[in-house]
Amino acid sequence: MTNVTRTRYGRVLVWIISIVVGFFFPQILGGTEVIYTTAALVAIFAIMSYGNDLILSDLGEVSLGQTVFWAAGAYTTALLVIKSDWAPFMSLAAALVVSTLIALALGLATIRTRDFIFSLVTYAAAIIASAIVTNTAYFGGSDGLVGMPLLSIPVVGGQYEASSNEALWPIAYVSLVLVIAFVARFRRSSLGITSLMTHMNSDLAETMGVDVRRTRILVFTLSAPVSALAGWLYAYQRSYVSPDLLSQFFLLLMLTAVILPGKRILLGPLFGTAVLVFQQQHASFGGDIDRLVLGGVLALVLLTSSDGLAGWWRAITKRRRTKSVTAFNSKDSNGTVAASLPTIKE
Amino acid sequence: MSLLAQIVNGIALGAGYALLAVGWSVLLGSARLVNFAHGQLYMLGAFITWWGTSALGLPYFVAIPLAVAGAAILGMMMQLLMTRLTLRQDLVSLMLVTLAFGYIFTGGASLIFGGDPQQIPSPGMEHRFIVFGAHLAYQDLVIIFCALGLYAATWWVLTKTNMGRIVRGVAEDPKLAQLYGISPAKVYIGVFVFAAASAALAGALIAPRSPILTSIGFEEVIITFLVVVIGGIGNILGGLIAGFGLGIFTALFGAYVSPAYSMAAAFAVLLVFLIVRPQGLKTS
Amino acid sequence: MTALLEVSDIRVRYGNSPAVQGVSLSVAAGELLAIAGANGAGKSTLVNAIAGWSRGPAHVEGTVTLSGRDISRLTAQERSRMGVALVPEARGVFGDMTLEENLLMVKAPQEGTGRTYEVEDIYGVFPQLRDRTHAQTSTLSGGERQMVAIGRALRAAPNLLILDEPSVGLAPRLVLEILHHIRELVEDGLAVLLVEQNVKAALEVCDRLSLLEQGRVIVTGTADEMRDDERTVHAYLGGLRS
Repeated sequence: MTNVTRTRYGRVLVWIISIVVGFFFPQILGGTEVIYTTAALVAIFAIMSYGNDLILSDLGEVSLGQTVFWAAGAYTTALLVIKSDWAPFMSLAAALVVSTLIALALGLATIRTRDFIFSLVTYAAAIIASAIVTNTAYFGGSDGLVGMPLLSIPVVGGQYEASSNEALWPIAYVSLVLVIAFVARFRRSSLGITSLMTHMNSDLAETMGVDVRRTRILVFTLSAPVSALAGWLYAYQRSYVSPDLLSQFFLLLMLTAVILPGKRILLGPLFGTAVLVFQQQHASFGGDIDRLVLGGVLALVLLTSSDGLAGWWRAITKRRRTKSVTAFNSKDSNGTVAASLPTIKE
Repeated sequence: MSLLAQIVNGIALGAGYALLAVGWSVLLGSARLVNFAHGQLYMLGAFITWWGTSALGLPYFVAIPLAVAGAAILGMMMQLLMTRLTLRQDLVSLMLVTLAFGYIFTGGASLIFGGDPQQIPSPGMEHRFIVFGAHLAYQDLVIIFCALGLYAATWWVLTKTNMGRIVRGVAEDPKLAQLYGISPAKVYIGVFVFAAASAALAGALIAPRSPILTSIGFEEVIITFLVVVIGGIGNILGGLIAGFGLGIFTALFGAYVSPAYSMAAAFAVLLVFLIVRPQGLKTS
Repeated sequence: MTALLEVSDIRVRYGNSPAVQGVSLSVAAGELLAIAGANGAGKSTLVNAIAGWSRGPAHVEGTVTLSGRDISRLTAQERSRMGVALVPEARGVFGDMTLEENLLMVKAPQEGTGRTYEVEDIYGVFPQLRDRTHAQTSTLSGGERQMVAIGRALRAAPNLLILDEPSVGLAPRLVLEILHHIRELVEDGLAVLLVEQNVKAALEVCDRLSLLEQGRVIVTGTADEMRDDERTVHAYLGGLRS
């Protein structure tokens, strides 16, 4: 075997071991229902965040409406399963389709708009969606839809019923692994590369033949089913859906999960979600204080680091500090060439 | 109620929308900064006013400057914290930081002021009169006059004074403004404080119309966004027209179709606008 | 003459590529120092760094001293208030404002700077601008915009005026006219640092000329000395070609 194939086999081996260990992680930590609940929530919210990750880390846009896809996935599932008795995988397919269509509509509507207007439109979309859902009886109004049955999927030898979080865990975990693999594959694909090019310098990308608009819509549309998958899982996990799915909590959670570790780190959103969910479940001092913590963490990270924890790490390990004339000649600039995020183009 | 009465209602409603949006429009036009904490600053303006009248026993019109000052201080603190990012022109991070601050304000307000609905007692709400069939309160008149006054003052400052020139210069080219001896960072602080203070003023004046909760503010961001985009970013007169227009639209839609979906309908109109005429009412 | 401006070992790089690699120079009051060199020699980068300004992120090292005071750590706006006025490449005026607004906008200089210019004084230097006082600056011609840019620099009552390629895009006659105006200001005591690709025009008005090549000063001399220097001719031709 050559060195190259040896390292490739080695890498694959590491991944396989990690996946197996990850599966048994809740068991290793004690295996109680509480732990499995936390683990399931981490998996679900991480999947939700990965949808956001594609847009924020790769495309470089700030979509504040990812909760719409997440909620669309959950509500589509609940509506079809509770009212029309659809099977789980059929409702999943429907959830993916509905969220994709909504993303397509939003993306096409914002095709001519500048970056921050895109952020505002997506933000408004989530709030409007919340208003519509809360005021419409079909969606269950402010109480939402209750009475989700247990997730029951056909397997060899009968039905597998997720009657507890421990039983739901394998399904959630497999979904998480698939999503992470998808994101990894995406980043190696040509669309992943063009979206990164668009992120770094969209004008330059255009001169190199990249269809920026098409890239934006494709990535935006691709992110929707990822978050919708999480919504599908959550509908079953929580057994009810309600307008709170569109609230700021999930938005901030998604954003912080991606930003806290640092952008474009494959396992970053998983790590970020784990930290935040752990705080919510096991170190909470009440809803209001949780809000202060979540908002505070996001603000702190954004204000003090150019790229989350990874940015802190880089700043600490950096040796040379040269004086620099940055965008506005600030006196204590740290000499970095700010090429990581796009600015508004007139 | 007749069509004319609804239009009058819409004007009263629209004056509030316009008042809410003026600071955001100037901030967006000059600093290109989207302040997602805008709705929470509106909410804090309302709640500090309420707290002033209930806990401190101040008369309503004395509590208002207290709320405005409080929001101004919060705005200054926010902008000072964001200075490093502003100097780097990291607009994405700045947007997200304001979003985070908004969330912190929601949690903090709930902690301090509680989760129950409150009512701000304003003498302006106690007396009603009839205009073309519409029932207006004196509060509505105050809002209309304040909106017109603030817009006129803002327009005058921006076009006729040196301070306005400086703001416009920084809006056009902050780097170049340095060569004129101007510190863009200081201008951003000033504009941000104005935006925070005017949002709080809107909260203090508009909130007495209905009970308030610490969870409000999100619809206000959408309203502001609609007004500013339709009016044209940084376009003062356009914002005023768009505010009144949106108010009339909301009143009519609410009266003849459905009040619950009027925001959604307005949003749909916005999407059409964005496709057809992204620059809004601006002529240039 | 004691030097008004002393620049010591300026180094500027963009990311990892060096643009200016150790330049030292000085300019005295009432003196016009011209900086010439081919495109990409680092002239703009150098004078921008002296003014503490740049469009993009740049790493700057070295010392800049104005009237004996070290201003190396000051921001561009602070240096502007201390009497360093930069007219950058591409004019540097606000297009969305009228001519008069551009002149009025300049922040009043601090004590101890150069001769003060009221708006009326600017019209005295550039009479052509008087008729266009309420015109939108974006509608002015290139030459008029250049005059406005210089006018607004003067409004900051500078001790040191830095001009970056004022001749670009202007008819030769207009260029000489403007440069002669500048020369008059120099005779009045203003120190001027002039970046010019048009070496011929620069030689007509400068006291000394420095040639910059790949971020380094290769020779400095009086106008007479440089006129006959082979390298000046080379730079002139280099400027022509690009």
